[in-house]
Amino acid sequence: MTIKDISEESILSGCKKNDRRSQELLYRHFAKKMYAISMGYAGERPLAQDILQESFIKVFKNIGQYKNDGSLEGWIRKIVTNTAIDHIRNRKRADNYLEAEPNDPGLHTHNQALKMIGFNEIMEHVGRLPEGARLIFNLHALDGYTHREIAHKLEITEGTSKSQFNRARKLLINFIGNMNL
Amino acid sequence: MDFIKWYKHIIESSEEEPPAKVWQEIENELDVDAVWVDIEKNLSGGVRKRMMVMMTAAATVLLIISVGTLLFLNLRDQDFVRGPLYTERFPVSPELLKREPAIQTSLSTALDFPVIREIHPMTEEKDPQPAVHPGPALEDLQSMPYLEYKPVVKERDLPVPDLLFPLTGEEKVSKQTIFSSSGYYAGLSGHLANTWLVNNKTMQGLRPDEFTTSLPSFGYSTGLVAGITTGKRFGIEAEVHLISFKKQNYNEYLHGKYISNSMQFNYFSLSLSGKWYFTDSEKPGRHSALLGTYTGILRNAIQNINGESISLSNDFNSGDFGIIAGYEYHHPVGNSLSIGTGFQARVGLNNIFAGNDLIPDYLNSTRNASLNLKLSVRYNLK
Repeated sequence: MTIKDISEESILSGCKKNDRRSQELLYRHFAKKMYAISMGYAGERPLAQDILQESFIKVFKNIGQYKNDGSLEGWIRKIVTNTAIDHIRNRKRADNYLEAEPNDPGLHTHNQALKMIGFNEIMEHVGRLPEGARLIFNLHALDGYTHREIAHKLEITEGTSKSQFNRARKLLINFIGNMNL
Repeated sequence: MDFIKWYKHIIESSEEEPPAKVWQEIENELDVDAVWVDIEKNLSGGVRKRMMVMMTAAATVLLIISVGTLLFLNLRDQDFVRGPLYTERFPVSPELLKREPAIQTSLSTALDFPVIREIHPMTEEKDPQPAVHPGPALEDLQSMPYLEYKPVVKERDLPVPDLLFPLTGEEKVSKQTIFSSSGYYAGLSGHLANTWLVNNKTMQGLRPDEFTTSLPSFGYSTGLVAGITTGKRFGIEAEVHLISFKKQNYNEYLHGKYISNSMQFNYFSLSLSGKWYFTDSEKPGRHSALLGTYTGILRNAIQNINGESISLSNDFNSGDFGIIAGYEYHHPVGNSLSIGTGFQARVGLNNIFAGNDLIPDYLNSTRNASLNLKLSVRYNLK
């Protein structure tokens, strides 16, 4: 049985009653996507697993606060993102940013490469980014935060957010372009 | 191709399953959380229960004091103002009536009667049942005036002056009995107690299949006792015990050895009880039941393991309180002294274990309990 076979309402109702079966269904339904998002922020699998675990514990403990005023996925995703930020902050390496401006990659190269590359390869390169830069990159690219919001969230300037995002993007494209495809 | 859109797509369409251990860890965490929620619920329930018991105990003490005070004041008023227990009319001979002022003076002095309300001829008032005394003939009595008075309550035979006709034997007994009502006393008291430290370990130690064996333990306490008897059957008694030793001995199997273990607590203890006397009279003795509360302040706590002593004062709360129920018998010795004996069951209501680095307080909830043999000597002050 999957979450598709049961209404989201009854799953939510079960989770609010701490019904383990409902909790598992909810987890199984969102686990892949949230794990990938955690990977994007963490840059490594062990940390991504910690983020995922902690996020879902928060989800189940706070499910009563979900008011159906947005999508359930969006609410869970927000928890995952905030948990990832907390984890990276706790590692005290979030101020680890890119200093040098990478060369502008050739558009042709990266278009060709993107067709050939998969999740694991891109994750490998994302994992090489400094944590601060990776965080900004994911907040903007993956979760759609504006630079103003990122600046406010991470207590940095808007300019820093923009420049770090651009440097991270260029660096990733360069990494991809340099791959032996 | 927009790199950002591509990146977002590749992340969100990932089919990589997180390892199974992630869900197991989540489940474990939720299980622990659920267990903790249950524990917390029970603990908060326990706190509520304890609060209820404390409030009940406090209300009981307040009730005992209030009822006792009311009874005391009410009965004192009755005894000294209205005098309902003993109002008699005594015929007075005509010769005395001629010396009316002298009668009043002499009666007040001789009988210690503060109130002589009136002296008037019996014929002026229809007295339903004048007292019948041996002496003058009935027709003489009917022509006599009489005295009406209210006596001060005295626990002794009343001196009946020559001026009045003597009381019958029956009247003497009834007056003597009624007059033994209120008073104060103070004295010394001592308890020999079979004490128990009630917790899981000592309770398990009573089972024959357990390695731990709880042993009978005895303590004692000594101090002062003071009380008030109010009215015929009610009293309040307070005891202050400067030393109050409670012990618990047990043997346990520890690190491959069977060792003897003893815990000793020394409290400063104060108790307050309401007493209900089964009889009115002090003679030949008085039986009573008592119900009250006690509170103790821990002076020190020592554990002795195979002869080696360690202080446990930091592991135990400084306060202990509980309820008392018991029975006492007092026997008069002479005019003012009496000796008493009885037994009391004392049950602590609060957890005296404060917890330590290894064991939190709620996992080793411990209460004091004891069965006390009480001996006391008291001096009646009034």
